[in-house]
Amino acid sequence: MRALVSDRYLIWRFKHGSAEAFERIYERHKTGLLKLAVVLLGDVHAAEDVVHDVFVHVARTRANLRVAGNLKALLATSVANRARNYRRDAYRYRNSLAKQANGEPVTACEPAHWAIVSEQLQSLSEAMAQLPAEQREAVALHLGTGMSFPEIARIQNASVNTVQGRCRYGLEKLRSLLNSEATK
Amino acid sequence: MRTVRDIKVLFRDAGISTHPAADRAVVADALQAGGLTSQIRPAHNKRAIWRFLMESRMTQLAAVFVLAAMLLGVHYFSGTAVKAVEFSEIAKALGEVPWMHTVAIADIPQAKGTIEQWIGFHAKVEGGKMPDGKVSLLRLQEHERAEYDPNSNTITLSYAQESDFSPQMSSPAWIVESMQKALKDHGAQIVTRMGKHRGRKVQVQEISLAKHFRGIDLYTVKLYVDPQSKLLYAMESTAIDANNVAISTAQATYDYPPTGPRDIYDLGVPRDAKVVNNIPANDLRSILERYRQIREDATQAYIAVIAHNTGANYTDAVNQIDVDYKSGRKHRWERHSVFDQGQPFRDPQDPAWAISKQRIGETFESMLAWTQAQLTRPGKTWIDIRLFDGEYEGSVRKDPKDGWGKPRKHYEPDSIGLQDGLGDLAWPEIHTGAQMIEDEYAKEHTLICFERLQQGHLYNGTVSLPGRFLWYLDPTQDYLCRRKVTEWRRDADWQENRDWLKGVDPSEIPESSGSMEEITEAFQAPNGHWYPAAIAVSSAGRDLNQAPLKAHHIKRIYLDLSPVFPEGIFDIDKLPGQ
Repeated sequence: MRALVSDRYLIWRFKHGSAEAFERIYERHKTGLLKLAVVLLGDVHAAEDVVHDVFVHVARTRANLRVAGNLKALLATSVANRARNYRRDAYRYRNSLAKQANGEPVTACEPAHWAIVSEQLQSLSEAMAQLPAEQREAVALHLGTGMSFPEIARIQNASVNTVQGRCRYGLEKLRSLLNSEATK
Repeated sequence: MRTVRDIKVLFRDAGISTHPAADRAVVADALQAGGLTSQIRPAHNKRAIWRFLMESRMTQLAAVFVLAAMLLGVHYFSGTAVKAVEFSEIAKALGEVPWMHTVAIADIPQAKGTIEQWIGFHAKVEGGKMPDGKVSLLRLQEHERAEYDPNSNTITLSYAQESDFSPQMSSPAWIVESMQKALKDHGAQIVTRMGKHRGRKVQVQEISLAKHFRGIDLYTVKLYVDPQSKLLYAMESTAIDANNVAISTAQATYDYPPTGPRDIYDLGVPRDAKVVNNIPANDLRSILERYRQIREDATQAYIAVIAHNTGANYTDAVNQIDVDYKSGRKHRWERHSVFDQGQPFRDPQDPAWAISKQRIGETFESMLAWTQAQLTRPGKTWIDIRLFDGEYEGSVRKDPKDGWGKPRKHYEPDSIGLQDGLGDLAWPEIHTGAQMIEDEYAKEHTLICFERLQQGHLYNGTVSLPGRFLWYLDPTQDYLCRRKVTEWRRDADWQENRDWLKGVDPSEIPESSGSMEEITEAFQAPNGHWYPAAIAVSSAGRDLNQAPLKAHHIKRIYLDLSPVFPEGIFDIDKLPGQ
């Protein structure tokens, strides 16, 4: 609860133009978001791109941030949405060129050598990569960010029962994958 | 056997660390996108030497390792065999010297050859010479960046902001802190001993990291530190692959002269180089911040009716109406065709105009009422609705053939919102990378002009011509974008690669084209803000230089800035077609 209140204060300050508040928001949430993106995408560079985009987007639309909102859930949702889009689009970089051709703003900076993942996270992400996308997303959001099933259901545009099922099946498969790895 | 709880713990404990230098780059990038500047530390600049070296992700850790040592060359780990010169001592010593000069011979994927760098800690000057002959000099106090390109023998001057300078300008330790953390996480070892380097008594700090990581098996860095002055004297670094082959090496020497380069010519740039001065007259960033803030403030709550005449070459009849409702984050945009088939007028004598006038009237109220009645009117027509309720984005369309379609709904709580409507008409987004220029039109009308040039390119076999975008803002009227110009040119003189269309079938190359939107009438509302009342759109084909272009599309804007919104107008579950 304390963190949530503090997030609200930071959002309020950020909405009023405080760059420092944004930096604190970033510090607070970057690791969790990168972890989430890594397990969703299985690729650290893609994860960097997605999280980078999320923070740029948040900064660009700071006027729209709701002080009363749950920032962690908002950021995690944003990462999940973008990760989904990223997976759908195998030619993302080409599309970014196409965007440029259409005169749309393109972010100027890429985070070079940003994240370094531990071996533990790497093996988790490899196991996660073997789950179907919906199960992977449900498991990652539930276990990785602590989101409730109704919250995930809204993101996945599915019923709560479906999400619970995805989590259950996903976890079973994950356990079996990780256990077989452990016994190798 | 892992349980679900174990997996939960695994999620929690699986580690990921980030590189502070990249963190700062991301933060700086995001803040720039949000129109803010970092208050804590200088952000990164792509063109600075260190940034240039760090562009590639390919050799992630190796690059950090080699680069950090090469550019700053200081490092500290505790618990070593011989008491190392403390990092804080080195940083303190660095803080007391006026200049640091580095000569590095690098053979790393990002650069091969000799790199020189000067940092004036007190003078706030940063200079560099790259292996390809490019030279740069940034002077913070003058807010000036000078860049020399030997290929064109040209010096380009541009406005430099504080965020353009390397972080070590104000914090010599920045990259070391990040390297320290990254290497500690990976179990780097350090051995410190006394030794000699080129006949000089020095303390040698040998740092090594043995870990298979992206094709690299061993990193070593030797730092030679003067035990008296605590300053770095020299550095050698190597990254070795599994076959014991060095895949990146760098050697650097450091000296601390009392003075440094005063201008770019002091770095060896020829005096006869051409000078292109792109320094804007005013502070570009503060203007953009103000522009975006005004758009935000002026578009908080309103209902706008926008009457389109898309056949202005033929008639003054309105054939399309947009209604734009906005309340904070909530936003609804509707487009209605006045005639069932959505056709524009071609004939000034067309009796349809009289019918149209009768149907929609000529006032805000009459047109709004007509659009509201259209939503429930049976029959064939075109209506397009988009809605953002603060959490969900929705859309639905009615067409003459099939009637209302099924509404679409997506959960997008962090959506930027709808891009259509009043804000985009009056204060359109100015693209990242735009520069302030002063052309004849801007001078004549006392407007601020931003220009963005874009290179032409091929994408999946499709030709995208070089683009030029211009925005003319009126500082006397809330920075309204009085004129917006878009050009796509076959013969663009800003296209750097002149052979980019070589081998492309000529029939696949589009003709040059361009368009212009101009606010022809504006008014000041009781809330003090200025708004457009009429906008003319014109376009040109082959000859973009022909002037004046004839407007073919007129938009008239009617506004209610103290709106009472119809009930349920922002309710996504009440979209038609449910």
